[in-house]
Amino acid sequence: MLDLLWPVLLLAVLGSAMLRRLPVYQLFVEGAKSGLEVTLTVLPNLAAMLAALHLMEASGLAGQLCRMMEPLLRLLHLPGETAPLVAMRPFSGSASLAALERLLAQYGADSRIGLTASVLMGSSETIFYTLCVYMSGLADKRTGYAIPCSLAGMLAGFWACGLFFR
Amino acid sequence: MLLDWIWYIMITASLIYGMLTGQGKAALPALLTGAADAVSVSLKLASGYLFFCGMMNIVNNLKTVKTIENALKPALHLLLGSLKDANAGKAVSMNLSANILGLGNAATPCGIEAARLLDAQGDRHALYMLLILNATSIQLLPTTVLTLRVAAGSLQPNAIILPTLAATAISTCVGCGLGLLCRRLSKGRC
Repeated sequence: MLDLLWPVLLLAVLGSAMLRRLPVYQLFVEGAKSGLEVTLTVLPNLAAMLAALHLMEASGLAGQLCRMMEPLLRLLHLPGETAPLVAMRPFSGSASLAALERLLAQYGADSRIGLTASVLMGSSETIFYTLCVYMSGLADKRTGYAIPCSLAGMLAGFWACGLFFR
Repeated sequence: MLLDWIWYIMITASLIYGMLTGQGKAALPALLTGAADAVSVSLKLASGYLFFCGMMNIVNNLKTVKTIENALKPALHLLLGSLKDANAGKAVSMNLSANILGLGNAATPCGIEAARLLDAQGDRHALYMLLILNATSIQLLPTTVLTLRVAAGSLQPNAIILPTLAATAISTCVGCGLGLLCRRLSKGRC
């Protein structure tokens, strides 16, 4: 059924756009242009984070971090290899994207590690970054119970993810 | 600021750890490989950003956002309580519907505006709930992850869609549930 997801979805979008006589081609090109801007913003950020990640791996620190986080990850039924992703997910989108890419390249997208890492990444947000952006315009910077509740939610999602691919 | 520290710690800790364990000469090649990797990963990501941003721009013109906004109304009333300012409610629901569709570029300005309006009317609880909803992510299709999976040669890139939806639903429910609990506990004090 999932095989049909994208064909059906795209047919639905394009079909209803045609019914409304929308200029689909022009809209697509305009949107793709903003996609290009996103790519250009992401590239230097990824360069910074992937350089740091490769360095962490080469120095042996990444392996050390994985061993240190082993107990927490075991509690969540997550493979130890996902430690860099789990550790950086709430702080930086580029860093966790870089960590996901490393895991997919090393273990394969359809392995247990690849599947778990994909769901970890897709189901969570960069909590601290998001909060920084949203609070940036406010005079009162108190975040009250927002951070503990968000972190607890993220851990619950990670735990569910661990159960799915146990 | 936060990113400065994370990056700084990642690099300095690795350099020191590497020197102590005798891996000093591996540092420069690793850093340069990483930067080179960024180019190839960005190319992979570009395929997804170009295609999905293009399609999303069409979706954005279909009033799908409006439909989702209407569907969200009862849930928002439960989570945020009754809002004095109708504009704040509008900004919150626009922010959430854009997030659900994965329209990150549209979601952020609405979210900042919503936070400003909720702050202006002194409704801290609604503000915290908005933050929790955004920080626990509610996206229907994880397009960036799907792009990387396709690029990594996955035979079943879509296999993660349902588990991702389930995991994100659980994280949002737990986050919001705890938020409502905190709100009840602090009633009258805040």
